[in-house]
Amino acid sequence: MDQEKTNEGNKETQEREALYQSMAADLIRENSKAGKLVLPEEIVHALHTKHGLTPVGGGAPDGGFSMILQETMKQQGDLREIPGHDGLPRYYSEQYMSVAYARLLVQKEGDPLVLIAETVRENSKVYPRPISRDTFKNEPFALTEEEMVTCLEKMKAGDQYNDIAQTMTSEGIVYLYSTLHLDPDYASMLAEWLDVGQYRNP
Amino acid sequence: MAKFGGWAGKVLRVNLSSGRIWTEDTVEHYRDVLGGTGIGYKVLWNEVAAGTKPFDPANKIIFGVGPLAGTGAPCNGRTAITTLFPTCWPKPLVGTGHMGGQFAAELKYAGFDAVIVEGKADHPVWLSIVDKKAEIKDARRLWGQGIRRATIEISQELGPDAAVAAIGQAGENLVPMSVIMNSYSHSAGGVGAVMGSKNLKAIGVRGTGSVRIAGKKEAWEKLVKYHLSLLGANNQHVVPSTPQPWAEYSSPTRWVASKGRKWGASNPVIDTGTCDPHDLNRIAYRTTNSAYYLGDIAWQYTVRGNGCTGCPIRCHTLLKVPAVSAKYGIPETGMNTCGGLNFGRSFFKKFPDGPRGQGNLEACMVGMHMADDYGIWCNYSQLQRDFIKLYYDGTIKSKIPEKEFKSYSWDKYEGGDPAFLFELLPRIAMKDGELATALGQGTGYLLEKWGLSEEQWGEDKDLLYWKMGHPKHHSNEEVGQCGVIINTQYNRDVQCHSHTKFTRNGLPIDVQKRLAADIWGTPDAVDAMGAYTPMNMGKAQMAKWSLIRKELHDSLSLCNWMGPWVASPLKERGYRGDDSLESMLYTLATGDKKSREELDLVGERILLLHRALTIRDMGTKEMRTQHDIIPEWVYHDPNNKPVYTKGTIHLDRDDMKLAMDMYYEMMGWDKATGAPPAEAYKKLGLAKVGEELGKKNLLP
Amino acid sequence: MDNNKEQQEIFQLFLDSTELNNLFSRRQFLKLSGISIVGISALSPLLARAATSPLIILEQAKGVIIADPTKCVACRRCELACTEFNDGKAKPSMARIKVARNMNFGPKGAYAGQNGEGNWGKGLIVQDLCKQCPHPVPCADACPNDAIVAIPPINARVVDAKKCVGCRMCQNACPWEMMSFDTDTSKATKCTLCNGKPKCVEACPAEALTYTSWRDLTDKVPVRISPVAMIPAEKATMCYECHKK
Repeated sequence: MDQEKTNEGNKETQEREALYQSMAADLIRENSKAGKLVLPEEIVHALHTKHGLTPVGGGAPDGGFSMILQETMKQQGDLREIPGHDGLPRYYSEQYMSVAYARLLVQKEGDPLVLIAETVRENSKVYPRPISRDTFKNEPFALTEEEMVTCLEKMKAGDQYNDIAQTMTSEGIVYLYSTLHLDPDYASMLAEWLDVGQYRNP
Repeated sequence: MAKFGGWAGKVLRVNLSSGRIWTEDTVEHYRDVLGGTGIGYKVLWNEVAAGTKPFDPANKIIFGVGPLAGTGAPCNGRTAITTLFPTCWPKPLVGTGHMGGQFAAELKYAGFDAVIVEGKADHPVWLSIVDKKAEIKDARRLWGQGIRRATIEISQELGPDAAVAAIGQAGENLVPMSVIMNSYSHSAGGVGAVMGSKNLKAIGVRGTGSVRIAGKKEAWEKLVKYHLSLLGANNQHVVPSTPQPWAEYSSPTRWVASKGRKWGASNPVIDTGTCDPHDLNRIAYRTTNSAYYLGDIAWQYTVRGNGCTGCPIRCHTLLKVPAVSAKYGIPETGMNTCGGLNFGRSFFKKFPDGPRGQGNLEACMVGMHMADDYGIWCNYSQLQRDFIKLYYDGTIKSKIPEKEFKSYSWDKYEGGDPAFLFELLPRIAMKDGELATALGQGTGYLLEKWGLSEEQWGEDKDLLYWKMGHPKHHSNEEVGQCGVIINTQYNRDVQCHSHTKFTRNGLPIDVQKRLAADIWGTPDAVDAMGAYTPMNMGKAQMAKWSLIRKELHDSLSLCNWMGPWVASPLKERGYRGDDSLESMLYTLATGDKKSREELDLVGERILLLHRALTIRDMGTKEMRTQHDIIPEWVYHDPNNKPVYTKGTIHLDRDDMKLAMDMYYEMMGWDKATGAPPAEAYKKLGLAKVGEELGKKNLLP
Repeated sequence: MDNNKEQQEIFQLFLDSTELNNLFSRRQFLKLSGISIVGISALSPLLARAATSPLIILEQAKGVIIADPTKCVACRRCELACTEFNDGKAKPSMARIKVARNMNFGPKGAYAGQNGEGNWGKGLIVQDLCKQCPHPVPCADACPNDAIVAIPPINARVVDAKKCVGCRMCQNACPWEMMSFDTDTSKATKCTLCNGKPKCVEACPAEALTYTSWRDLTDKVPVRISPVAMIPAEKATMCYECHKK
């Protein structure tokens, strides 16, 4: 009789845990689709406050749920963890968000200057290509004009960032590139091609 | 039941001089060349003698579609219109105009794979094709009207779902720079006047029949879905233009969809959103060419995408700009893509509010409105580039009578006022005045008429002039030696996009090189744009592949602006597409089993026919020196940078010689002349063609 | 309430009504058919009583396809998917979702010129879809051979090709002109909702089509024609059984 109750109890616990795991996983996936990383506390908040759930076996929400979170990360093949700017973990689903985008979001948490510099360097290296200044004012960077101006000024001043250079296309659009990977002639030719050449050569 | 699926089974033949209408069995006569340009070249070879001129009744115009047209294969709505090309200078040669829209599919449903028109009617006529029955009908009432009125009136007779291919006044007036259009915005360049010369105003098609798929429907469904899963955006660009959550890469491509970028004139507004490549229900939102070409200002005026039958990409954009209705008295809606969209603005050196502002947008609306009704061709915007040069260097003023010069509002032109186009475009269509007539001839004849040097034209790199009266089309400015080789091979601007789609697809160069190794045998087949390296066999292989696939697509009815699909947006596939899609689609649709290599041989056969025709009609085997010409500007850098350094697109003369050598070698052609030997023709089942050329001493 | 009990109740109600004793209201009928899981199909032997008493009441469809014209990009992949994946051939003229006829000039046709909707007019592409009509089902009613039936579990109205004689009466009966005719087989055909996974919905690249639970669209979409079909006399008698005063 007691054994039955215990078995039933275990079964119920397992079911609840599975439910919490799937809710946590879904939350992470939905956020990834929308281009957002998820903080551990957001998951706790969602499970506890939004859904009114309590951890299995009692205890404080963050304590109990963090176990659930760890299990979820282990069980669900698409979920990933990336350290945020503050060192704490952020979660995303690889099914809906690329590592590159997750990294970009983490960079966004920190100094916009670093965000710009690293993005410019990466683009100059990988494709290779210069990147338009306006890119940083659009999603997902969403920097203001003020921030842009400030950052670019600072870059000129500091030593670490004097590889970040500018070029202007014939239509007056400014492109940024890193001299570590692109020399000025090449960068300006590429900028002209990307901005003007491509659409004028349909 | 027919032995093969895919093909409708009959080719329609019309002689407008005698009024005779008859049919041929497609498979019996043309299976070896598939359809489209294949049928076009074969008919011209067999039936149109060298020396025939484009406006002679003996010239034939072949509207060809392929076995895939009208099916659910993605991107199949293409019609190839092959004939002797009026703007080809100094001697008219074989050329093809290509149009999308609904015509290809409707022709198949009406029971035909091609329409071949010869002769000349003694009064304006239009051809009615309704479910296997063709009739020559009186078009006197339609003659003198624009493409739109002709289309609407024919639709009132045939039904609202009819497809009508028509010419405007430009074609009627035998203006070489004219088009044939169907489905509102889909034009075939350069061929309008040939229809006009035959007194043929339009072809109206209505079909309620079917295209049989030979393979099991479950297999076909699977294949179609597989193909859809590999699609990118327009031009098979596989990387989004801005960072998207799902994407590893981003680069300025035609995949412009993003959260917050909206089709603003749709009612209610539609957010193009995050288009995950796995979401096949959102393929149509990836591309918004109005914004790509006209700048961000276009988003608020974009209603939606549009395009060919069965294509999910929707590379045309429907725009709604209320201001143009009030300002210019034209409809507030307009639609087109690429050169068609750019038509109006390309005439102007600048606009008061910048290159991609309101003025630019309005010029496009005004340009499309007239060009697509009068049926004027732009020759890949060579018309406009020539116009700008000729005006600003004073040539126009010096060449035309003073009275005529004064009749134009040049202040409006210089001021970037789109209203200027109302003075210019109708006159081109109506051959009204010396300027309009000269412009309508095409660049080659214009240069000749005004005593201007073609060499000089070829030196000015901003003119983008290539040879024989036509401009470059995706050459060394983006695909180095491969692009140049491709641009030497045709008699009009090359309508080949196999290569440029790949290099512009947005993938980093390392990924492109990895894919190139798979497709063309070596990562060195592709260079990063502007960082070119010396010629190698991989590049020759890529050029050969590009050209063969272009002919294959134009004969199968697949869009060469979308296919081949050798790259895909899917990271899990390593961004690999599938180079066998064409052969799989062909095999399953027709039941004629062909591997990728076997089908490519058919494509090569079609390409070879084009070469043979060109040689025969030029009357020379010296193709290398007489035909496969490379303009001077390819070899010069404005800043005198050395070749093969980063930041220059120019090439080296000797290296290009080597490039042509390698290409000829790859094709099995004679290196000295660039002419295919008898063996090359034999190998591809064209032995008779080789023999005939041999009799005329046109073999190397 | 368990299924068996429910089934018994319905059974009884029907038995009573067909004895011409009770005025069985449409509302009662629909209420029952709406909630019952087993439904009328289990009683079909009762209703489809040989040639003398034709079937006119069809089980309500479980789903319907809804189209958003402001999203349609006129690609016609829905028409192609419908015929290629169901019939093994590309034949848009018999597609059971109809876009081409409105594509150029809008629903008013070519006489609207450039002043209607469609690609030549203001741009809206109206997709025409079968509404899976509730009772009365015009196409089914017009069929002299009872070839149009509701197929469980979805209960889409479907042409039974074995029974169809190709008379085209159904085509004349549908006020929205949604009946198709396969000229290769000389049989009528119509939207079957593809057993609950409509191929057109799957094929649309613009999210313009949605498959959802059935709702009555017959009074929400303007008709295209004045139907000219007649209900065969035997069926008209059946109407009288429920609708008499």
